[in-house]
Amino acid sequence: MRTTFIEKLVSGADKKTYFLIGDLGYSVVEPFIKKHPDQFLNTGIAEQNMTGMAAGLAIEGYKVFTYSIGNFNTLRCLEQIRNDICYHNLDVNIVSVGGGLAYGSLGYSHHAVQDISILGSLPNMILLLPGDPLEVEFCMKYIFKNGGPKYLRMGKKGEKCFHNNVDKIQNINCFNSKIKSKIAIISVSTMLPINFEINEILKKAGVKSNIFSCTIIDTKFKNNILTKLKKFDYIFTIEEHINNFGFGSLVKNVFENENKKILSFGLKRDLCKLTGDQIYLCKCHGINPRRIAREIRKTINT
Amino acid sequence: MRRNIEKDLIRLARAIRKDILEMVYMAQVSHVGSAFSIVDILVVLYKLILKNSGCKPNDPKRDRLIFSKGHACTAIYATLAEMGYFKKKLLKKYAKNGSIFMSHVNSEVPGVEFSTGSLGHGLPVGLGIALAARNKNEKWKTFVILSDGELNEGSNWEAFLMAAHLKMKNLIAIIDCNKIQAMGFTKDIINMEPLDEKLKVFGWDVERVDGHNFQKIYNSLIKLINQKSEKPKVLIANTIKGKGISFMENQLAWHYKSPSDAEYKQGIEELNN
Repeated sequence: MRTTFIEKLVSGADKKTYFLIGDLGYSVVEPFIKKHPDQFLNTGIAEQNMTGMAAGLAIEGYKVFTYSIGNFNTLRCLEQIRNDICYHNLDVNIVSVGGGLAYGSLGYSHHAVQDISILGSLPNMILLLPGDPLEVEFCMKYIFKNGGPKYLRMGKKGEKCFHNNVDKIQNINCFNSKIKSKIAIISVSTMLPINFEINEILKKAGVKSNIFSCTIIDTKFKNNILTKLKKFDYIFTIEEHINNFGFGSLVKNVFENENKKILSFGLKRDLCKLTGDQIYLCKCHGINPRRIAREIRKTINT
Repeated sequence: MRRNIEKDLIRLARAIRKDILEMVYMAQVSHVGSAFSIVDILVVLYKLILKNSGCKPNDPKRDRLIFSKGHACTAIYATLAEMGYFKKKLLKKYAKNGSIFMSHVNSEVPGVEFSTGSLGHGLPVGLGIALAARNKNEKWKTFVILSDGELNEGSNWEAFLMAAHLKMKNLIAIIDCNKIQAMGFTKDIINMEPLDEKLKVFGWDVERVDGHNFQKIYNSLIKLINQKSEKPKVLIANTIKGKGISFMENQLAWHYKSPSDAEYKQGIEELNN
């Protein structure tokens, strides 16, 4: 995903673009530095200053990007995002890598697992939550077309592509709309591959489901969700983020007065103090395709 | 400084202090002491230094001023009103329901560049603005007004470091050293001194001045602005919290208190004399 991000940043940038990094991005950001050296700054390991500077540049007309690992350019400088960027509705794009547990063995300090709920509650903030590299491209188009504060949450690198045409991507996407089913499974961000795995497991058990990804949460989110998911009796959400405070709860709110069965799968709020890779840690939190498929079958059979 | 100019500055500072006193009295809110300490500096800035005008508050060529000690907002609101950015009668809406005149400075008010309130935000933002100006080869300057207590916040020091590293000669910080913060004397909470030595070592051009002497404030600002060095500039202003009204001066209580009827009356009398 980060490769797509930097390619699209380099090609989309004009003289109004400014790219700030918090001393991270080795072997990622270099193409931008090469092409736009006067519009790049490594602000050092100082995210509060980076984010305040981003607001200052944006108020003077720049489209600014701040880049770091997910927890650093969000939580360390949260008040700068809230007061300096969001209150003033400035065109600052907070770009994070390592969304969820992607930096697995680096430990809890490097996991971004509260970012959707925290940033999603800020005024004017748009959440861009791509699930594959083409969705990153779609998000970059959105960024270059729209102003205001945005948060782009990515995984790391080497993610599989599930889309094949960026022009067909929307804020909410269905990957197998020809299948007639009463079950929608909708994932955000890095959980798209697991969504496909669950679909395969269910298919083998004779259960049809529709695979959805939610790529952008903006002001049209409620309408988009209603349009796409209203017809389903069962909705299951999956996120690599603390459950009950993030995407799943947003979807539940949309359908609060409707007779639907909605179940959300996400990370436990309890800490896992063991180390491990992303897949291992996801399993510790119960994010495991087999377990989720089992839970889905149990839900639809009761 | 010519005598008529000085007289004009005295007249303006007195008018601003009266506006401030009336605002905090009518609204019964805090921070009057923090507003009084910065008035004389604002007067010199708006009358003699800043290249901006109430007639064209959005002029792209104007100097930018970020007011980071946002709790002292009555000082900047009153200054902007006196300088013609908006009608003075609007100050009566200060802190009233449905008003844009928040008790921490609000950029919805004409002439206010940026909303602040939580301390330690203004300098990084000002640094970003100054960088934008340099990138666009603009000649206008960015001024940031901070308080001494505010320097407890680490974000300022991130910006002090980066501004010097970037050789931001178009950035001018002004520190209102009124020596009192929310729970007592700054020297007893986190001693910032010797502040001038610290900032010199951090790579800034530093001037220290009596923050209530118009001539000296003016001379120091001009000296800093005309420095040939590539360094960012900082004016450390020794001020008195509550300056202008005898019973408020150097009193921690006036970080919080709002004047009673009698205190308001006495304050206005003192300012008139």
